[in-house]
Amino acid sequence: MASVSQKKVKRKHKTGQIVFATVMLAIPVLQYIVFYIGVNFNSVLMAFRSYERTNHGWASEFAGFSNFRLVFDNIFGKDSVELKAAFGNSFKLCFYNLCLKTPIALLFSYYICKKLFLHKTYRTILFLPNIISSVTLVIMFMNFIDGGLLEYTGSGLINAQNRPLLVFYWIWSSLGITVLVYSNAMGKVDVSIVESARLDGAGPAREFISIYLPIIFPSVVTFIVSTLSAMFIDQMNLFSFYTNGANTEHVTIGYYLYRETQRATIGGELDKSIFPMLSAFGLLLTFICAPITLGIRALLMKIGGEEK
Amino acid sequence: MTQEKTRSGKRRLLRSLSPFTTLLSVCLFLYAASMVVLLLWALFTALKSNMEFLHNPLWLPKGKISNWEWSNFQRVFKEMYVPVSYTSGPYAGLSNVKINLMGLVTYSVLYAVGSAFVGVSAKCVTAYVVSRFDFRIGRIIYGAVIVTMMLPIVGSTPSEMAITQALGIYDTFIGAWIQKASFIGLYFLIFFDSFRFIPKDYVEAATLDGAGEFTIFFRIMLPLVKNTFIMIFLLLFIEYWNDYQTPLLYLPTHPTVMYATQQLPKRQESGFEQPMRMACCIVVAIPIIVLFAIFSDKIMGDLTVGGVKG
Repeated sequence: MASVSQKKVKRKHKTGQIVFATVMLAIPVLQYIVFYIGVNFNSVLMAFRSYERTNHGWASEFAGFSNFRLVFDNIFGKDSVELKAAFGNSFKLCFYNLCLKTPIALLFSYYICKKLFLHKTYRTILFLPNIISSVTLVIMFMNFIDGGLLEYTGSGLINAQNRPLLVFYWIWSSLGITVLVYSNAMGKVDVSIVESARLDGAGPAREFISIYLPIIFPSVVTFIVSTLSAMFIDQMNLFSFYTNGANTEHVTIGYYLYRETQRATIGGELDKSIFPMLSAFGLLLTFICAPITLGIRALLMKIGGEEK
Repeated sequence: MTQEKTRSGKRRLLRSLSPFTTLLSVCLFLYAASMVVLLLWALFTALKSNMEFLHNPLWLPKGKISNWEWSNFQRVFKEMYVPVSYTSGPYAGLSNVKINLMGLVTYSVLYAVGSAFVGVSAKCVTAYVVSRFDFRIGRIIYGAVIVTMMLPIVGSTPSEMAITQALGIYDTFIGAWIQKASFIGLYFLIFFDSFRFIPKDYVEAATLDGAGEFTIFFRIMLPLVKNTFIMIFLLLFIEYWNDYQTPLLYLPTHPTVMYATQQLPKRQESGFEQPMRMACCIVVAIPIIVLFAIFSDKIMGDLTVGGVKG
């Protein structure tokens, strides 16, 4: 009798759990199905279709590989300039990210993690660009260089789209979150390891290279992987600086994709005619980016070993 | 005791002094100075007249503090607007309707608070169900989160816009909120770990007392992760408040404050030069800076990704 009632309680309990899980997961799972699986599936379909405006709205038809041909023409065609430059710029940006931004962020993180002079102030100031909107900071920077410093610089550097200055701004304004994550990871390094290195005569530089860097390697790998996966998304703040008017030679893939998509909204009604070409381009970029990202991640994890 | 503390602090400082750390200190000082100078320059420029800015673009405004152009900030409230044209809906046909600062702030609040709330709630409830129950769907969801975070997908925005339009939620706040109700991302993993490390005794004791699953979640588990919930809500709120690119694509007739800020360089009319632009930038940045000042410890808390090697 007791076991029957226990079974009943258990069944009631299990049913309660299933009802709870169903109610709680219904919206997030539905959202994932529509806005991740559905969106990406539709993106693949759109890459093989073409849209035309009719009297009754937009009509679409199967277009074979014509969108992909258009993309290849835009990249490799004789007259193509923009997309060729965009590819080069996106790769360069990724290179700057790995070879300039990452080392600077690691060095700054070491200083903050060691709690040296004014470390708290520096940590807060470094994080400010993550708090203040990018567009606000861009406008302040643009007006400071081209308005405030004009008599010292002698020309409107931002208006003239000075490339080194754009790269400088991009690094200067994006160190915060990286430094925060690296310094938090460095803070978890066992103090006894550092102390014993000190006793063996290791100075701060040695300590940074031989102890901190190898130990926080998994965090570095995570950032390298996220940098690679965002290779074709990063806009280098070009839209904030110039809206649709960035020079062709500075355009990145991320900026190109956003600018073209945004153009479709101008005029009040969505202009879908450009969507298939952008979807085809996005699909090609995913095929380039995904194996690079996953391959390099696997390689780095093999070199770096296990994390805890 | 205090003397001892000072001495040990001095000893620590001397021990850590080396050419390497000194060089780092100089670099960080220059970085911090550049940031502070920029923000102060923006503030002082906002307090100048156009005429004064032409003659004195770099330094403090001249004259007594009470004589500085404080009226620029008043003008922001009157003159910051975005013109909107409607092609559908109840206002179809109306063009160049000016959305003033109050309207822009209202749209910003609706977008940022709504999106942050649904975003954090979706991640929290999904992480709770996945960490608490050993259902197959939980394992699938966890796998989906990891795969989605590693797999870069580029160029799906046009497809997303087409789908929101087909669903009839394009250019609506409901649509923007639904788009943000995703459980994917780093914050899911933070919630997942938070729930996983809560001792099971709490749930067992509540179950013995006859509490149902909804009571356990809302009355016991949710209060235990309250701090994480608030931290992620704040981070998402700041992200969405500062975001102008998503509203530009998905909410074209509901411009936000940041959308209006992005349009500032385009406003070439007389009287809207650098001092007014800087005043606008200061006004829109203040709410976030105040929020950051209050919650800086929570916001910059123990954020780590990738772990360390053991």
